[in-house]
Amino acid sequence: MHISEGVLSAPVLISTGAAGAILTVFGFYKMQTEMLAKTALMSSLFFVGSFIHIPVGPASVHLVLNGLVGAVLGFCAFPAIMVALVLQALMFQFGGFTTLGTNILVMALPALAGYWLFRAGMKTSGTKRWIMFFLTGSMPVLLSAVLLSAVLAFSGSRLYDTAKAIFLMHVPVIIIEGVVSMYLFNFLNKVYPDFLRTEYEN
Amino acid sequence: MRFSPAAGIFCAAVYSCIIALRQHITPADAVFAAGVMLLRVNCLPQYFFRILKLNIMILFICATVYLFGDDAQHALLIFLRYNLIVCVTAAMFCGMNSSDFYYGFYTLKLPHKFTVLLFFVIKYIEIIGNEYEKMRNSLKVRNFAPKTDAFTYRTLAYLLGMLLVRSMGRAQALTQAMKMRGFSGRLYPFNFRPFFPADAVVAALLVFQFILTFGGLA
Repeated sequence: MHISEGVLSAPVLISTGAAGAILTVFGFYKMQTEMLAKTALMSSLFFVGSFIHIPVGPASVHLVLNGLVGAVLGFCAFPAIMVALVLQALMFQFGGFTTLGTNILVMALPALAGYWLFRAGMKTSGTKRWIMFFLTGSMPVLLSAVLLSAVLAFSGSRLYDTAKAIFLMHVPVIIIEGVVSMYLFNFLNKVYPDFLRTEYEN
Repeated sequence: MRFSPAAGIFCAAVYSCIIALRQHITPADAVFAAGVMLLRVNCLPQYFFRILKLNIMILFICATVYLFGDDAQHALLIFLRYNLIVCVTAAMFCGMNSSDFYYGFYTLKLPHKFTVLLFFVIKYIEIIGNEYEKMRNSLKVRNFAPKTDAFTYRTLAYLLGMLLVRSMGRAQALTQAMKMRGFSGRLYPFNFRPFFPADAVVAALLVFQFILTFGGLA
C-alpha cells in the first residue's frame, strides 16, 4: 500500500504532502492526553499488522488495518498512522520521507470512512451489523486503493497502467480485510466493548 | 563509521527531497549516496540484501511504465531516484533500533506530542510483538495451518482481537505507572545519542551535494 520514493511527480508530491501534513497536525490537535495510550496502541497494531500474512490461494497478503484504526480512533487515526509510517520508513524503507504526506493521505483519510461506517454499524443488529462490520474493514482499503491509483495516475499518463495494476493487486486485500474485520469487530464487541467506545474524542 | 540518529534523519530527509524532485539524474547526484555507503561499508551485507529485496516492487512499477507507458526514460528515472534514496536510508539507518529514532527526533526538537506518541508506539510495538509471538506459537502447537478458508480468517481475526485485548491491558498498566511517576504528556529523557565524527563528514557531503545539484556544477 506504500508509495515508494521517486515514483510520483513533484506537483503530486507537494500537494498531497501538504494535505497530509495539515490533516495530521489537526489530528494531533484533536488528540488529548487520555487518547494517547489508545492512539499509540492502534499505531503499533497498524505497524505489526503489516507482518501478519494471510493466505490467499498460493500467495499471501498482509492486512492494512486502517479501517480498524479509524473505527477506534476517528480523527486521531492521522497521528497514529503517521507515526507507524515514519517507523516503517526508517526501519524497513517502506515508503519514505518525501512520500510520507502522500502515504498518510492515502491510508488515514479512508480510515475516517471506517469510523463513520462503524458508528452506523453499532446502531444496527443481526445481519445488517455483520455487513456494516465487513464494510468497516473493506471500504477504507478500497478507498485507499482508489486514492493510491489516483495519485499515481495524476503523476503522468505513463503511470495509468501502473495505477490500474496496483488497484487490481489490492482487490484480494479489500475482501480479506472485510472478512477479518467482520469477525474481529464482532469479537471485540462481545469480549471488550469498552475498547470500541469513543467517549474522549470527536 | 556510525552516525547519530538526529544527523542521519536530517541528512536522509534533505537528500530524499533533493532527489525526489529531480527530473534528470546525473552521476553527480549519486555523490552523497556513494559517500554514505562508503562510510557504512562495514554494514554492506546487511543493507545490500535489503536494497535488493526492496527493488522487487520498484522493478514491477518500472516494468509497467516501460511496457505499457512506453517510456523507457521515465522508467529509468523512477528506478534511479528510488535507488539513490533507498541506498542512503538503508545504509544510514542500518543497525539503528527504534529507540534511536526516538532520540533522533527528540534531538531535532520535533513537537512533544509527536515524540511522546512515538515513544509510546515503540514501547507498545515491543509489547504487541511479544504477545503476537506467544499467540502464534500457541496456534502452532495446536497444529494450526493457515489455509484460504473462513476458519483461518476467523482464527486470525480472533487472534488479532485477543492481541488487542491483552495489549490494551498491559498498555494501560504502563500508562498508569507513568502517570504515577508524574507523567503529564511530556517526557524528559536523560540519555541522548552522542554525535559522531561521521556526522560532520556526512553534513559536509550533503553541502557538497547541494552545491553540485543546485550550483550548476553538475
